Amino acid sequence: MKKTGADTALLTPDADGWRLSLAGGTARKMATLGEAAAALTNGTRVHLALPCQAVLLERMTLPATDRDELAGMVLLQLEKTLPFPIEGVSSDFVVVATGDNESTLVSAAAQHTQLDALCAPLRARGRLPEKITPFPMHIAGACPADETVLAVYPEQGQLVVAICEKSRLAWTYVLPALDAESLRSALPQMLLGAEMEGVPVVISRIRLAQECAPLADALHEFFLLPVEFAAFDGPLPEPAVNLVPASWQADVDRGARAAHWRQRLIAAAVLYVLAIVAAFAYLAWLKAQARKIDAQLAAAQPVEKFVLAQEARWRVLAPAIDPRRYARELLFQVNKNRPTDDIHITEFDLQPAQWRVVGEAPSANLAIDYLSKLKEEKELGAFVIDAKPPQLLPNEHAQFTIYGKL
Amino acid sequence: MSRTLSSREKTLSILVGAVAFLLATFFVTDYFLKSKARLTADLAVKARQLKTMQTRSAEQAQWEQRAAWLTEKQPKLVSEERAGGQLLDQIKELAKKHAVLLEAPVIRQSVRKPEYIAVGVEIETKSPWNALVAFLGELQTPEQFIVLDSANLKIDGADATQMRGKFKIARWYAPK
Repeated sequence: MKKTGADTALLTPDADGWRLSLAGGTARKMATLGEAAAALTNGTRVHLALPCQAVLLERMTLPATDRDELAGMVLLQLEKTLPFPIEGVSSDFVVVATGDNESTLVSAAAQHTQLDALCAPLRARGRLPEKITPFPMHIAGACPADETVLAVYPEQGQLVVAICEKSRLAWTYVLPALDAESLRSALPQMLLGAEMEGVPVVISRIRLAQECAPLADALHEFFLLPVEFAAFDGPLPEPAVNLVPASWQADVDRGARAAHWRQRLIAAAVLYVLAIVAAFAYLAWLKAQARKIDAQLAAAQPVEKFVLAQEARWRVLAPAIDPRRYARELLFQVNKNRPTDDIHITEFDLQPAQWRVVGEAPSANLAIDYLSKLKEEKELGAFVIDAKPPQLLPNEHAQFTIYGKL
Repeated sequence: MSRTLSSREKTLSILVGAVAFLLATFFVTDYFLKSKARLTADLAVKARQLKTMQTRSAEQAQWEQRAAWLTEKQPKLVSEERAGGQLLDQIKELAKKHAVLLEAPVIRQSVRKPEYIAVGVEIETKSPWNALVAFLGELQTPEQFIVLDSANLKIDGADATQMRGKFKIARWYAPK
């Protein structure tokens, strides 16, 4: 048997309702399981200890010692004794004593429909128990291992009398009354029934729940043994049985998978939102950059306006102030770029935006060479220079007309 | 009152949610990509404009100097009526200096432009090539603000050593 985990909540039946024992040893009384389910925090694993009325405990002696064999035999036995189909039942067992060829055990069985109804509030909040055990087995686990102990405690308005053998539950009896008289009158028949089932009835110790103090005299008188008062609401060992239906496990697994996917989806959603935020932040940054440049452009606007105005003014006045546009300079370039002195310029015409040179060359090739030189002249770079095809004259000279346009 | 959805309803709601999510994602992505493309292009254009403006700003001092030079050097028109005569006198003097024969001088109507007031004359010349070139060289210098609105030079048909020229010459005065 192991102790309850730190992040595990144990729900056990109380004298009137339920008791929720949380990690750290704090215990709170709850009227219903719904109230208890509401008090559970996220991520807490739930163990449920069933009251005796919700579980069928049966003592059996079977001709086997192997646990697997015993499990099969228990199922067969339960199939015979239970009034409902075995498929609708969760069962487990605790071996109380083992002989050479046989074992004595206590089986625990709980009907699925009853568990479903009982745990509906827990299921509604997604807190299905990971483990379901009979509460008397917890009580038995806390008893000394070398003694036969009679444990008496209240459970949801009833009185439970349990015989514990070697720290294991051997037998239980539920008395629907909590008064001493009812107990006194039921005890002889109770013990007779136990003895007939092979349960040791020589009790070495009596443990009585503190809430049932008025029953101490009746027990002392009957067994002639001192009565110990015990607190059964503290931490108790957990028995090695689990009555959780297999279908619940599938639900729990499904729930865990759903939670896992939910977490992934939340992470993906967070990333998605972050990506959108980042994208819009980037757009905002681009807009801010554009606004920044707009401000710089606006600041530079007066200078830009001034410079453009001066450029335009300078361009307009260029014929008066730019020596490259002077007639003499143009004539000089036109004259200088002649390939030979045999090329004669017969006419030069100058207009505000263009000039024209008419002349004669000894051959068409020389006229074309002249055109090429004029085009290559850097000082005439402001002009687009073109020409009509040279015209051949009767004296085999070529007459050319070359234009320079701004 | 709320109730638990059936499996079919859950599937349908997931489907509707997925379609809505995909549509929303599509529109958001589309909006982002279009806005990004628009803003990036806008930013590139503005960055180019800024670079050009910065280049121009760097030339501000040079243009200020030029503006000052123009203001200082461009001749101021004192008398519009006399300016044409003064220009013609100056041309005649130059022609005489360079042995250029001046013919049919005419004073032209002045022309007003935002950047200048042009006061012009028309002349015809007859001279050897070299004399004409020297005459033109001395006529047009940057501080004279003299412009040849048109010039036509031809070899004289009667004497191939002579050039005949027809000129429209103007001086550009500072605007008032």
